[in-house]
This record gives sequence, structure tokens and C-alpha cells, in this order.
Amino acid sequence: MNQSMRIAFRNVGRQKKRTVLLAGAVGLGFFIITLSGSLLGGIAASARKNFSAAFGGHLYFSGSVVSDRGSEIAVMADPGPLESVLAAHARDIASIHRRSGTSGTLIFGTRELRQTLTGVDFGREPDFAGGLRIVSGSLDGLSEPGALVLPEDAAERLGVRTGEAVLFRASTVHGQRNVTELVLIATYEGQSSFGVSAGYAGLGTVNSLLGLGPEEFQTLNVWLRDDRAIDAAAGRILADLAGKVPVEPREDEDPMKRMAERLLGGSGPRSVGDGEGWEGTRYGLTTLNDLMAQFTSILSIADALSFWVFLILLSITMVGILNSYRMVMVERTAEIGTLRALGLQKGGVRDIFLWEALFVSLYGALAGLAAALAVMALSRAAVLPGGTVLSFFLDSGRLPFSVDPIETVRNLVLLCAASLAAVSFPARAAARLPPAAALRAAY
Amino acid sequence: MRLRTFAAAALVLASFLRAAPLAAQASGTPDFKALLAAVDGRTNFRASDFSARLTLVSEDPSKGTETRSVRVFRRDRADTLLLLVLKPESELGQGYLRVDDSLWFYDPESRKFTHSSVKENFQGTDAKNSDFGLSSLAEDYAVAAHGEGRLGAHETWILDLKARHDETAYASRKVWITKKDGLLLKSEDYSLSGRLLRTAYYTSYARVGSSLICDRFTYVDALVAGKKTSVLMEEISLRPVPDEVFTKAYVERVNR
Repeated sequence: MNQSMRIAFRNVGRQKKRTVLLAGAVGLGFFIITLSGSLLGGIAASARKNFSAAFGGHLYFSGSVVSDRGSEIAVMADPGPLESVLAAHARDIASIHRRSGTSGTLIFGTRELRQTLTGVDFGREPDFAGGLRIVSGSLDGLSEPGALVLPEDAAERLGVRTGEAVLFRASTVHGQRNVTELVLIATYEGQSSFGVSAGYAGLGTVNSLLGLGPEEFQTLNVWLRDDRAIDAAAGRILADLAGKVPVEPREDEDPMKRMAERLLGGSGPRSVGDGEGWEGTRYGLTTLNDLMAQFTSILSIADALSFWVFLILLSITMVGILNSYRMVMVERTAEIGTLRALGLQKGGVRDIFLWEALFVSLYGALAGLAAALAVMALSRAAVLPGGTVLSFFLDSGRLPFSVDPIETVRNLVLLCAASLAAVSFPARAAARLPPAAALRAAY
Repeated sequence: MRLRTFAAAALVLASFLRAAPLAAQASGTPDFKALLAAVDGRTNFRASDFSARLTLVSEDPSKGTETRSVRVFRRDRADTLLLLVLKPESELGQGYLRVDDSLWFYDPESRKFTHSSVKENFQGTDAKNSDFGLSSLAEDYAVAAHGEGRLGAHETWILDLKARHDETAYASRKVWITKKDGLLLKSEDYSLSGRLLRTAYYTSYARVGSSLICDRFTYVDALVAGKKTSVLMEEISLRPVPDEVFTKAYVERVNR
């Protein structure tokens, strides 16, 4: 085995041109799959991070009660049972935040703009400010009553600048019309194209608009320690909660619609039909995975496509390797005869061919990986302009790449296996050459 | 004997209750709840169906002037309502259907019904969906204060109304009602925070059957200067409307 490996290693170096060409073809395939896989992985991770920052967590628990007049009112009137269940799952949870939200109309002069507004308890969310990329103004006065932070594009469309006052017209949780005056203190880089364009104000300010008390809230947003465990954690918490209080079924509705209606007020309170009511607070849950389901499926399709491209490139390369080694076999017939005459067994000849293919594949894969890493490093150095649709998938303005070691090893194994499979045919043919006939060959 | 005594007592009590508003009127102030109920009664048609064609002209400083034509069908005894958009062409076929305490908006492009609210503005105008349905001033509001004043040529009662519950569209309103006929002439609608949101002017009344119904009214937005919506009601009819009109299937089918 060692002898075959040594000969194969030397053979790879003997014919540098052919080795470079074969390894280059292999490396190109590996470069493409590594780069595209890392980019898609990076985009998924960045979007996940940006989405969770925009929605304020990984799990969003909402509450609703039935009013005396039979309407469903979006308020977490009694958070006790939910908080006790969350306390029992404390090891999974990084932090919990209270929020309220509504959708309404911003008015500045004669201009109007539909806008969602999220109420944040800034005192209990000290990290909130760090999650926004501020374009103008500052977040210093964030805790002041009536302070407003808007996405830059919303402020532009409204024509309002920081320091100016705007009106916000919305409905209370009971559907009553209300209006409040807010002062724009800062604008941030939002992404309205993806429905992530909330304005932010203090929880008390938004509660006052909603007709809620200063300490009340509509949602409990949970940040998990591991964002890959969202579905598992959601399932466990919901199962525990369902045993104690009324819980809304999750399967029937479009999560985005549910989010809009339950968490942002939607189009006012719904009427609860006879016999459909419940006692106390009914809890609902929307997860980050629910909200990202469509986006994730698009990424999965892109990932699958890039893998198929890799397989096609691999097939073409394997055909090239197969043909190359058939020629190698012909070229080395006399050499094979000599080696066999010196005592090398059939298996030894076969192993030389296989080891050569393996070395070429490894060289190619290493070169492809190195090239992909170099391109990633160069791309990361450039900061792309913000404020575009693309920026939502970027990591602080840079192209995001995430090299998955398991995926890389999987691709490498696949590549080596395919190379060995392709070379096995000429390798077996070379091993079966009669030594005497091989010695007589003159090519 | 006991039954006769009870009947006599009930008769005396009923006479007293009937006489109470008259007694109040005699002292100069009417029973305002009865006055509001009369305003509601004039707008609501519990004994018959109601249909009309509405022309809404919206003036918006940023969007310009837009004209909409809407067909309204009401069956007040069942609290059902259908608003069908006839114009502009781009909104043709859109409809609002109120059944079973829910208001549904139908979009012919997506062919889907979505939940809406009677308290929402109608098609971005200053009119509310609820402005075209049942009036329930007496049920929803209590008179917190009253005064008198002239509005144009009319002597009016000026009533400050406070919502009896928190599911009314407005937390408070101020209404001007004529002393002579009990017609609503003007309404100022306030937010929960006490800010004036809009002013409604009811400028013309038409006789329909034995009742008078406002057929020309204007809503002036108090938050956006220069924004207002004028509504003209024509082709008013109290003829029966087929049951199928108040169904989702009809809304889907009509204007297809």
C-alpha cells in the first residue's frame, strides 16, 4: 500500500501539466459549491439575525381576551401563567421582552403614510439601540415620552426630519380612534421590502395610543440561547402552556397575517362568535421560523440548485478524469509491465491509479477551497451601499459568508468518491494487463 | 284583586314614563336620550330594507380629487350591510359585507375576503364604514353636557357625548341637533386623547317614506388640512332587497 502510494505521489508530480488541468477542473467545481454554499448559508444567517432583531426575538407570544361586547381584544391581560411556564424553561431562554404594537397612519402636514409602530420597554431592552443602523439623529432621547424612531425610507416619503413632530393616528385595542403627537428623534436603515419597517416608540407611548395602562403589554418576545432550536423550544413551551390556559391553534393561519392581526392590531378587534369565546387570556405563538418559512424555502431551493450544478460539474470532470487515466494506462503499459515483472501485484497497479486520482482530487479540492476563501475574504473587505433590498441580507453592509465544515467535508468525500469511481475502470484495466504483453508494448 | 292593583300601578308608571320627556320639554330641556334615539330612528330602517347609490368626492391635498360611486344595501333589522364599489374602474367589484357582526372586505383581484372593521375609513376617504350602516347614538353615547346655539338659520341643541363603552369609533362627540325637527346638522368626532379628528356636516335631508334621511353630507378631516369627503345619496329605495344580496357568494358573483 505504502509503495503504491509513494509511486502514485511521484507520478502526480511527474506530469505537472496534466495534474494541474485535472486538479483545476476538480477545483473549479469545489470552488463553486463552497462559495455558493457559504454565501447562501451566510445570507440565511444574516437574514435570520436581521429578522429576529426587527421582530425583537425568536418567539412571539401574544394574548387576547373577549370583551363584554364579544370582541377579541389583543392584550395580555394575565401574563402570569405564561411567565411561570417560561420560567420553567429558563435554561433555553436568553431574555424576555414586553412589547405592544399597532398599525396606523403617520401624518405630517398634508402627507400621510401607513406605518406600523412598535412599543419597546427601552429600560428593559438596553441592547435595543445597538441593533439599529442609525442614518440620522440619535437615540439619546429614546426613553422620552413621545420619542419616535422611523425607518429612513418612511421618513423620506413623509418628508419629516429629526426633531420635527408628527401625528400618529391609530385605533385602540378596542377599535376606538386615537391620535398622538410624536417627535422624530432618529431614522434607521429599514427594509420595507420585507415588511420590516416598524417605527419604534416607548412602550408607555404606544400603550397610551392603544388605550392600555403604562405597565400593560400585548406580546412577550423571547430570545432563545440557540436560534437553531426555535421549533423544539416553541413546541415544548406551548405544550406546557396548553395544559394550563387556552391556547390558539397554530396550524391554520398564514403566520404573517396572524402576526399582523394579532400583534399589530390589524383591522381592529374581531367579533367572537357564540360558543367560540374563552375565559381569561388566550395565548398565541408565532415564531421566527414561521415568519421566515417562505424565505427559508427559497434559500433551500437555491441551495439545492447549487448542489445540482456541483453534481453536473462533478460528472463532467469525472468523465475528463476517466478519459485521462485511460490515456495514462496506454502511456504506461510498458511501465506497468516492468513493475509487474519486478513483483508488483495486480492490486498494487490498481492502487497506484486510485491513489493518483485521490491526490489529484485532494489537490483540486484544496485549491478550490483556498480560492473560495480568498474570494470570500476579498468580498468581505468591501462595504456595500446600504438602504437597498440587498442590505437586509448583508452582515453590517458586507457580503455574508458562512463556511459549514460538515457540508465542506461532505462535498470533499463526494468528490473523492466520484474520482475513485471514475478511475476504478482504467485502474482495473491496468491491473489486468498481462505482464509479458505489457513489457512488449511500445507506445 | 291583586292583579287589578298591579295593572293599575303599571298603568300609572307607564303614564309617568311617557310623560317624563314631555315634562322635561316643558321645563325647557328635552330628554336628550330620546332625542338621540329619534336621530337614530330617522336613519335606521327596521321595517324595510334600504338601498341607495352614493357618490363620494374626496379631496386630498396630496392625492388630488377622487370620485367614487358606491351602491349600498342595508337590512337594519338584521344589522347587515353591503357596500359595492361601482367606480372608479380600478376598484370595481370591491365590496364590504357586514354579516354576523363581522365586516368582510372583498378584493376581486385576489378573490379573497379579508376581515375589516366598521371603524376603519372607507376606501381611504374620511367616511367610516360605520357611517353607512346602523346609527346607534343613543345606545353608544351618553350626554355629558348640553347647550344651545345657532347653526346657520337653525336653533340647535349642542350635546357633548361621551362613549358608554370603549368599542365605539369615537371616545367623544359633539353634535348639533335642530330644536325644531330633531335633525342632526353637525358632528365633531374626538379621539380617546381628546383631539378633534373630523367634523361632519349634514347639509341636506330628503323625505323617504315617512322619514327624513340625510342625503348630502361632508366629512372634514381635522388632522390633514384641506382633506375632506363629500357624500351624495341618490336613488334611495325602501323596496325589499333579495336575501342573496347579503351573502359572500353574491359579492363574488356581482361585477365579475
